Amino acid sequence: MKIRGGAIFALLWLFLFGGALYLCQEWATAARLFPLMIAGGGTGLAVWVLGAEITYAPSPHKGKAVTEKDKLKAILKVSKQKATPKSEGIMLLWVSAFVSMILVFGYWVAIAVFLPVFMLLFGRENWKTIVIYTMGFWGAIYLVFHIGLRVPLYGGILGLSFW
Amino acid sequence: MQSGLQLLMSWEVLALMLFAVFLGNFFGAVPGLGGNLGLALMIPFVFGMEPFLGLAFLLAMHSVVHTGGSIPGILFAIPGTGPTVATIIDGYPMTQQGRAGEAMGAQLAASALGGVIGAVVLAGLIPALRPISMSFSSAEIFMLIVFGLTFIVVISRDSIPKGLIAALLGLGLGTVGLDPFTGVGRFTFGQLWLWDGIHIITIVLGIFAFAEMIDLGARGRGGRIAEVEEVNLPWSQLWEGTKAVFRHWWLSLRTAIIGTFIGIIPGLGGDAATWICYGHTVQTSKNKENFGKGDIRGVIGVETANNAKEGGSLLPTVVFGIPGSSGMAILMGAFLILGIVPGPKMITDHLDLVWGMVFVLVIANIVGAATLYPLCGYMGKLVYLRGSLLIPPILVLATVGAFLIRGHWQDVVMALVFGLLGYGMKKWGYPRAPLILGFILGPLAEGHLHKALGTMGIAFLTRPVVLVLLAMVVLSIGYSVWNEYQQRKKAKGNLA
Repeated sequence: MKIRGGAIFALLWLFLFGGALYLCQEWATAARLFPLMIAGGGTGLAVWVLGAEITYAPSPHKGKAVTEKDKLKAILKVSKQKATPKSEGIMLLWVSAFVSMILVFGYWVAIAVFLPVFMLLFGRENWKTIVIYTMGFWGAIYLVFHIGLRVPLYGGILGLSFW
Repeated sequence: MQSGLQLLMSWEVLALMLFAVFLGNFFGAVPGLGGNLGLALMIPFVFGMEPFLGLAFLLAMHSVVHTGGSIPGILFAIPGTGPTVATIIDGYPMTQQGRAGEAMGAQLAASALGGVIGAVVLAGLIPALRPISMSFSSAEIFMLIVFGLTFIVVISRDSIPKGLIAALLGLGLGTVGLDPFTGVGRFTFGQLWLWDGIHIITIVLGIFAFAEMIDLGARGRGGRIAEVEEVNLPWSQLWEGTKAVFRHWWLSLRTAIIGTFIGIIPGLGGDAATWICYGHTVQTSKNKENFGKGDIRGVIGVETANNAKEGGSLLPTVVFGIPGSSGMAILMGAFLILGIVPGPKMITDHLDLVWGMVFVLVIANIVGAATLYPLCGYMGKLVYLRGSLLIPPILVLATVGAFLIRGHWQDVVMALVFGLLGYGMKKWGYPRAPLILGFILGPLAEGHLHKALGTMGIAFLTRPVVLVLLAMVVLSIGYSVWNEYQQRKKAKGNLA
């Protein structure tokens, strides 16, 4: 039997609400009243959705009823490119790598490195675009936050900041 | 009213509003960005601003998002924002017939007119609502919040259980931190930075900015949002379209007023206003055969409602502190950052600010549409933006925003976590707006529930207004379940 992604996601809800239900047992009555109502309801719904995802089976009918939504979908133009598990994984790695760079090296280094590397490796942009775009955007962030608003951006674990 | 107008009379406010209107149109016109993301990304820029200055900036930006959002819809059948989908039904066929300018002219004029009418209706209702808001106790406000939450779920499109799960998660996230009544740390896991709870902006940046950028990037290397062709917009056609809005003035007025009132109902707004008004336009028109094939009345009816509802949804946000839509929920979070606390006291202690908001809506809607007349052809080209150029700056602004909200690096990590959650929700059909509204309404609901129970006990449920609201809650849920059952039955009938 093939496990659907939707079922795994429904399991996440069950874990979240079930965990919340367990955690709030140890609090005072007044503190747990509201979370208990939410977690209880959420656990029940998560079981429902999980059951629906597991028992889901495509319609045996060959034909399909055409709804108003289908008619509209026929008009709408959206990108023909579809996400694949591989492309999703790659994108998640890019985003996680950027956040990790911020945490280690801070914003100024992370922005200066991430923008050109992403545009070069992911977008295959030309060097001229990469240099102008990176310098322009880094400069704009510097002008707005460092000079204009005078707010310090995180310097990372290494403390690479202007302060 | 005069003091509200005075607040606007400074070059600083007007210049910032002009910039905000440009940004709002931009965020609306780029498919996948939208008003919620725009608001969340711009909130860090209002730190330290004068309260009204920041408020005018964000409100002006938010109020014109749908004006810009309809451009890619009409020109290329690509919806910029959710509620603009209904515009495509007649707008895009007009473009296919070589009448793109006419459709754009009608869209811009209808958006401006709808926005102005929405603001005027809002202004007219403020004096009437003053005594009502003052007579509402915690019991009534609690039930009003529950009513709002049921509507959020009702409009959860495809799956009510999934909408409910999202709303419950939002409500649950709202309980994170120290309980204000007992001082108990709830879901804090011994982390000091969680004592103040999770910030709304962190969640919004995660489930919208991060999730949308992951989605865009996952569609492939430097993928464009869509493949589109050039469209001409002659001035004469733009003028014809504009005149059509005033030629059909009775339709414009009706749909704007309906849109405003739908906006007032907490949680309903958005898509519901545009679809209801499209249905109303078709039903009340004598010759219906051209709808769906490029009837300008289809564009007018939807667009007036689309902008008018923003005025309506501002009403419960400001007067009761209950956001009328997910955009208003984020805006409410920004108000709190600026030191403005929405609620009944707004119309007793800060009436000048409320009138100021009304004028911001009027000016932003007029300026928003006026500036787009010469620019709409160029704005349409924003759909050509490649993912590789769009993703890095949005990610940078999202992470900067997440950090600046409280100065915690942990919030950046939280935004990433919510980004993964938001992407999963988008992929497996869970609506994200109920999560935002649930998060904002959760602490409010809990606070008012405690107060109502503390002062009246369980007897608070027998108060007349509470009973009326309770009946409305039951009716709205009952109606939606019955409606879904009927639709499934009809679909089965079609298949047989």
